Amino acid sequence: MAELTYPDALLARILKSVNTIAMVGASTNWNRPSYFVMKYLQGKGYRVIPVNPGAAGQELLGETVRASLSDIVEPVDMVQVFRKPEAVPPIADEAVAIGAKVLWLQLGVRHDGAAAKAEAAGLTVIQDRCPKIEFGRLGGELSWFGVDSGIVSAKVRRAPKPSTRTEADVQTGTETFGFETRSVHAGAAPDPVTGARITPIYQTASYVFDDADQAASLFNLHSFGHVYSRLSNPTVAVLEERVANLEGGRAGVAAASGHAGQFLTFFTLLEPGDEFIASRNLYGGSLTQFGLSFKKLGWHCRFVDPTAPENFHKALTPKTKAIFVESLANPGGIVVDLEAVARVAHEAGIPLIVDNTLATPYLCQPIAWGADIVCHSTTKFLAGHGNSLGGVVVESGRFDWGQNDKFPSMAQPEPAYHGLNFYETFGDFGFTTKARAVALRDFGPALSPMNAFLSLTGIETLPLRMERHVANARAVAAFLHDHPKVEWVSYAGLSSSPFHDLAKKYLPKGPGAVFTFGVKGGYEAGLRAVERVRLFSHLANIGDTRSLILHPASTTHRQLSDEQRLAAGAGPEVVRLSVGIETADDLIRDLDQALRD
Amino acid sequence: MSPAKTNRAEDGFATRAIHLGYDPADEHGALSTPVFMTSTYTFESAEIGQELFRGERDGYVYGRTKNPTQSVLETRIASLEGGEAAVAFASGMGAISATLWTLLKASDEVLVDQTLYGNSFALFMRGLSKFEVKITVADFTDLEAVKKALEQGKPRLVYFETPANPNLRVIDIAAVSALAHEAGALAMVDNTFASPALQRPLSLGADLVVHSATKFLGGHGDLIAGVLVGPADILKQVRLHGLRYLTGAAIAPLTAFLLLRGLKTLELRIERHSSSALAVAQLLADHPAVAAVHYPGLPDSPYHELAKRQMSAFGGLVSCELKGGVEAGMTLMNRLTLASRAVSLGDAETLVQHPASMTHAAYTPEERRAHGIADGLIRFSVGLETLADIKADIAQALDAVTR
Repeated sequence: MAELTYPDALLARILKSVNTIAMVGASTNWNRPSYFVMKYLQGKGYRVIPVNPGAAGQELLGETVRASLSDIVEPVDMVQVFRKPEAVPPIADEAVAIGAKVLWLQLGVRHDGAAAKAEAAGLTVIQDRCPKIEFGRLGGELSWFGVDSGIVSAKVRRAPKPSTRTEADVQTGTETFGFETRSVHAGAAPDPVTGARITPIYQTASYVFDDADQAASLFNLHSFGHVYSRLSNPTVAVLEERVANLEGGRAGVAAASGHAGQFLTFFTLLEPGDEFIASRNLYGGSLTQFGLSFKKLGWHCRFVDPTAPENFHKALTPKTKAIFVESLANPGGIVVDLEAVARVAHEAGIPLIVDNTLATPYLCQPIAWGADIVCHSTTKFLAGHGNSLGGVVVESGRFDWGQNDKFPSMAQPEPAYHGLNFYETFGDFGFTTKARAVALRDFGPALSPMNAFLSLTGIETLPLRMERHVANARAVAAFLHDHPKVEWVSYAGLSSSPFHDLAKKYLPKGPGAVFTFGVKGGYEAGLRAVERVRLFSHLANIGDTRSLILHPASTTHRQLSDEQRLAAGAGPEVVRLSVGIETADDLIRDLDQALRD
Repeated sequence: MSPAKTNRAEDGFATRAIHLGYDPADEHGALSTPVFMTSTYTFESAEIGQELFRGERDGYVYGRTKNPTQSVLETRIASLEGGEAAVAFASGMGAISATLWTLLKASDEVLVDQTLYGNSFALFMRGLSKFEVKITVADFTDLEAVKKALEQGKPRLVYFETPANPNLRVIDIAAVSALAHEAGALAMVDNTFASPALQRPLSLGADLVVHSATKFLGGHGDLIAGVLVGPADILKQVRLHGLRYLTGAAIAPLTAFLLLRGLKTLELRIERHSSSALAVAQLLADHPAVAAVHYPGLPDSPYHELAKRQMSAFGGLVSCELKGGVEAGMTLMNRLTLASRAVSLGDAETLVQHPASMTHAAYTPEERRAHGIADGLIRFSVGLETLADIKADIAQALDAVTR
């Protein structure tokens, strides 16, 4: 089926021109989506008349339930359908008969034949969308949950309220803004009260409720809003939306660190006893988290060599629930064939999770190659200044959680929310909503507003910095490649690298700025190099404006055996660099004097 | 601190902008400079306290005059501007006024250029003149006029901006500084529009450089700050008098931290601001609705040759006048959707404003005419967004004006 796309201007026009909505399939159960969508729309100023033959004559949210559309005597602007697709055709015919101007089929409901017929009769038809979600997206409320609104504008966001009819009120999105523009603007808008141009730091723990009813709605996830900063925060939400937008995803959820983001991801996906497959070439901290700590929770990780995609296929079992890789693997040099690994995952009915930390969305767009979830340690290149920890998890919105019974946490009633079904209710941002509403709520690794703020200002210069990081890394790698004291250089930007072609495909703007090289003379020579540098900082981080250097064998991989060190690419002679954005000649001069006899 | 590691004058601009003046070894190895949120400092002994107060010993006494985060910032900016010392302030106006209060007394004379930021103009014409400091105005693009003004009076200080706010006039820093020195005056330059990444007035002969650090130095529109750079003896006087008890315009530690973050990408940002501003200037110059464009990077600008001599690129500010005058300018501003209508400049976001009613409203209409600030002038601070998006936004707004 062709993908449905509706211009924001069309949705905004409908939501502004409509006053009376007939809701077919309105439920009297307070925890069914039709009930709380009706309540939400009433709260925004619409009159909603419920239609449900099974509840005809009953009182529902102040309205009498009608048996059919033809029982409504008032003029109806829009007919909204909360029924299964096969029930749509007669409802569409009735909508035409009563003179409705709009036929709107709820998220998950689509019937192209009935839609075409209604359109031929002069109706505007929207399918597979939720008016509550679209209203919230256009007005900015959805952004509070880290969903990418697609809106890039320097104007205050205002909801398309039925009472206000001026064209200028509604901000409408467009897909045509460049990466640099979105790095500065996505997710952010001037403060509606003060006009402050820069996103404020909302250093607040909790948020005041309008009244008890609104509070209950928020706790039940029936409407959008902030309750407590462990779950959501306005400053953090801007970061979530920005990263989601830059990754081409649907929504993001932030966490206190990259590791915390991975925990939220796997807690939302896995049940005790489940398995997942991960590349064996990962950041050392991830190897430990997956291989050792997750074991305690009954989650089992199988590590495979990522350079041959069939290795993932061979490791699949009926219990496998996900595949995890780094797009550009730490400590650098290895590029994973994302498209091929995504195919393995999707044939098995499971999502591909990609850690895009080393590449950043500027260099690599994993979702475009089939990734379903993208993880970041924003501490690195995204925030970019080495001054704030953070993590963000982005979902593509394309994975079908209901295609099999592997993901009860997504597609079955959630006991922690009175039986709410997250996939049914939130659709393509159900995963991050679930991660927020349960894992973030109950385990609490929330990102601080101050860190979110610093990460946002960092991302403003992401494209500029990445260009320079890559240019400097290329210059340093070329210098080392020709240096008599250097045994080898593992940088995918060098034509001698076995990953050179994959890098050109997946990282067209350059293969990052983190890589390793081997010093002639083994352990002592490696140690000597890191001790002699003056401009490079000797420490265990990457993705700073400053150039960083590390000798894994004597630091991060010290506890391992010789064999383990070799397998992890941390042999005695290995030195890792994270090349900064200083003047390239200064970096080369520093390494040259450090390698000299 | 190990000087060999962090104070290498021979390092490149970007390297110094990232490293200079801070050694992680001093602070638990923390790679990012700590934010010292402290108002006061303990003295090891009463005697040491006395020595500090007498100025016989260097050290921290109280947050109004000095803070460790601020010190790293000051060292770094002094190096980037090529000066001996720097002092940071709570705002650019704080920096200017603390300096002037320190250097001037009643009956002194100051010679200023005819185009100044509105509140600098107000400080000179309405503020200092109340205290019997005599202010003379001249057109600094006319060196004969500067010479004449210097001969007629006895100025203690010569003050100008280049490029000037808002009409981007460019003043010959070397020539004006030389004339000032011949007359026994100090030359003080507001380098806010160019930043040290493009122009270093001290190397051209100026004595003092002042900045609104809120702009390109900070770069993200999230702070208010100022800095002064120049000879150590003058700077010490400004810190101990102008800052400590004349204005009290102390920079917040967090602001100093944010400024250090901004400096790390200064060179990258200013390159992009400049290349995008040139493209915007060309777009404006080619549009039928535009009567005049002011940008020293345009080859037909009367300031192009001079700007090429003293700047390495032409900065992120562009101003223009529309054929439809003030009304057309208002329409243009209201039609922009990516650019924000806001004062300030040097942010990642593109900003647009109308000087006559906003930044330069402190001038009377007559003064604006006399000082060459057209009522129809619109000023753009070109941001870091994708150039095609910036151009598309301005083009559609200009087309709306033409319709």
